Amino acid sequence: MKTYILKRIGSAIPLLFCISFLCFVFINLIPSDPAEVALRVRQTPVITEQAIEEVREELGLNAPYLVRYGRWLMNCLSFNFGVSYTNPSRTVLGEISRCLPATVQLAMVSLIFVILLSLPIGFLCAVFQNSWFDKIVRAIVFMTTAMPAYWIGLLLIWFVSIYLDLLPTSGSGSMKHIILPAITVSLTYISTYIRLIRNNMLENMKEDYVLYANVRGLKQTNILIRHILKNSLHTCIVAIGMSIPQLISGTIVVENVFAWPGLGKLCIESIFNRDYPVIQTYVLLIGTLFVVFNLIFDIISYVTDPRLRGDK
Amino acid sequence: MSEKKILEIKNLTVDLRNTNKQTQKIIHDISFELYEGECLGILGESGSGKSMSVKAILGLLNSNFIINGKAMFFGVDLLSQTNEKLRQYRGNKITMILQNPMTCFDPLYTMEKQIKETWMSHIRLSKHEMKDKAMDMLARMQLKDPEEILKKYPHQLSGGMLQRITIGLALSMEPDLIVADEPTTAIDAITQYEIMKEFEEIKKRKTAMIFISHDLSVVSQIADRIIVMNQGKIAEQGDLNHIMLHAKDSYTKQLVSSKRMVLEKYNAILQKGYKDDYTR
Amino acid sequence: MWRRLYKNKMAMVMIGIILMTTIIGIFAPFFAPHDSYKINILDKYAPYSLEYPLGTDNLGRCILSRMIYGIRPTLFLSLLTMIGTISIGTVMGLLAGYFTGIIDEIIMRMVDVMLSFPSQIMVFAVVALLGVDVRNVILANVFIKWAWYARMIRTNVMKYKDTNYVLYSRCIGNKESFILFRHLLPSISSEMAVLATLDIGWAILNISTLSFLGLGVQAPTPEWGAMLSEAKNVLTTNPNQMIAPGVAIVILVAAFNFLGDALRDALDPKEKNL
Repeated sequence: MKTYILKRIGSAIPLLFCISFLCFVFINLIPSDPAEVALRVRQTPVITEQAIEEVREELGLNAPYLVRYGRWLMNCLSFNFGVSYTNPSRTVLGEISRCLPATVQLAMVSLIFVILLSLPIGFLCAVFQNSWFDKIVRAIVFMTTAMPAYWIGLLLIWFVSIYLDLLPTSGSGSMKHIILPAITVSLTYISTYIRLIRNNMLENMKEDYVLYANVRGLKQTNILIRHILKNSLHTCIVAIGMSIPQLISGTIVVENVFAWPGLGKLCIESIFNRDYPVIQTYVLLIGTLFVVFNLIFDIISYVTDPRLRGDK
Repeated sequence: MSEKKILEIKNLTVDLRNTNKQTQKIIHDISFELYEGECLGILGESGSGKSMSVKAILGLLNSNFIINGKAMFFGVDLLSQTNEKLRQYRGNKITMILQNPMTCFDPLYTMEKQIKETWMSHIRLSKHEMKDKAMDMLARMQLKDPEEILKKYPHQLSGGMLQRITIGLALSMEPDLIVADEPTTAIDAITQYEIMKEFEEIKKRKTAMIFISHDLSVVSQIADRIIVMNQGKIAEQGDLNHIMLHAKDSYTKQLVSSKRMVLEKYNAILQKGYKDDYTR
Repeated sequence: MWRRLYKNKMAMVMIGIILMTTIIGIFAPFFAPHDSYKINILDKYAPYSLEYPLGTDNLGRCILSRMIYGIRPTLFLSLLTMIGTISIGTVMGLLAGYFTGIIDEIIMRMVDVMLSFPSQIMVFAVVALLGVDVRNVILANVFIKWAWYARMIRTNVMKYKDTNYVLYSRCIGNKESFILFRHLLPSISSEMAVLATLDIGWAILNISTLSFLGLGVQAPTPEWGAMLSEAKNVLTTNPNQMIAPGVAIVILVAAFNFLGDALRDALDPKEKNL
């Protein structure tokens, strides 16, 4: 078991390097000269060739590529992500940590919605396969996969906030503000997970161990919950775990519809303002989250599976 | 052998609903009976409907199958029972042993939990009694180190061991009827021999048994009476001698003759082999 | 496969919807009742009428005409995306699967990295890097999607490479390129058709989302996502404006998704998926 975990961590490290290298290359690919940008950031009145050269030397831009990558990586590891281009008084770290809590909050509430709804609905769909309930849910699931999230958001704003005047249209602050964005974010994921759980349970129902459980005369509820549901959740464990970073990155669109002051809104604003350090850090953050969560849930699924755990 | 019928199947038919609302006949109107203490062998190729018919009686088929007919078990029609009633019969009064013991248990639970949950579904026992019963059962099935086995997960045990456990479970409730559905097919030859010994033991206990197999030699070893099924119909029934010598149905004849041919060939090769060895 | 698909009535309806949309899009000037750019402030927020069947927007432009012209960027840009994705994916997949060895190794490592990244973030990163423009959106989409096709095609090539007819073809001395195009491509094309059909729906959603955020098709150009972005600004005064583009996207994407599922069922009737 230990060897597996070590191996798994070992395979995640090169991936993290790849991601960080991509992010580093990314900022070096932009058409503007970083030295020039740095001068602008310092609000130097006249930018001369000589000044640029000096800054180059100062920032170590003349060093070889890999050396610069190494330095940058060390900076990143000590959470020094540089300064925002558009607003030099702000560090990137400050910007990100200002926006992160709102996004995490939104993602967590959405995750709760996703789990609370998709689990029982997927379960019921599998148990009553091809009943009217299953058919209706499948039709809704099919429709939601074809619906753009932002349009669902607009419809919700119009219906709930404007027509019924129940909840605020946008912004953040109270618990009321979070409901609509969270519903919008979770809708797409709910349909994905309903599908996942339903199909997985149906697959499991065809297994021999279910037949034998019936042969032994176990109670239906017992077979469904203790055996089929547990087994299918077990195979879905990684997918379910991965929904956390997916939700965090998946809030971009919804945050912009509801003016939710999180990372997604920061990201889009930065794209418009060409604030590259912020975008770079955002991509690095999300990429790292994906790798780390994948690692964690792979290990969890490994450890919880007696077949793989290999205790003899 | 007493003449008391414990199971009587009358005009059993099974149809499968297709996707486009047509039905497909899987079992055509079969009838047979089982007497107390008797071992009935059902013989047929795969897809002949032999295990389907038993599953139909026990309510193990899903709602895509339409089942008609009567299955009287001690005077109670199993087919008209509710699912819950049938469940109480299964694993208690009627137990079953399946083909592939390796896939029969839930991989996520230890053997102890799975053995216990079987009994908990039918009887009330204290934790202690449960444990003793389990240890006792494993010991009776000649499994070494029962304590260890209980702690293990299914994948850590061999097919032979798992099949012994399923047999042990099937016997543990002292059922009125045991159904064995190809219990030796998925097991290697040596274990197969040992498992068949277990079945002979069961036979000595005079528990009524239905033994399903595609293998004439296995069936002939254990069954008092044989039903030959082909394409969802009963092609022949009678005792072993009757089937071997006086088969009327063409399918049965073919089965018997192919078995004879294999035997003859086997003998021929053996003899030839000896000769070859000597001539070399 | 085609005969089985032909029997599926719903699938035929979906093909009908897609074909009709395409035709209307191609002959947009012929079908559109008005000029899609013509501003008529006096007539703004007009309700549904004979003159303006879907009403007018905040600038008094005919929504129906904008919808019809909007087919062009919405549908054709996603088709373009898919063509790009499939061609790069196919080339990479064939290279990796057919020549194996070091080429395979390099391509597959690239694919692994691409697939481990969340696709949505990649799109934003690429758009951010290249600047806000439609072309860049398409490039970004191709950039993140090709890896899926490369992997799928590689696996299939590996599978088909050792089938008897390919081995036979090589035995009788056919050129490698001939084998590639005559045998391998046709045998994987059906699976590719399924994947591509499903992904067109995805591309439509993605492009319209980016346009909605203002990163794709820019404002005055009629595009469904961009139209919704405009509708968002006048949500309180004229909620009608957001109905038509949204419904259109849902119908078109659903049609492609349904068709993709139907194709898959027709391809492999055993695998009945949701």
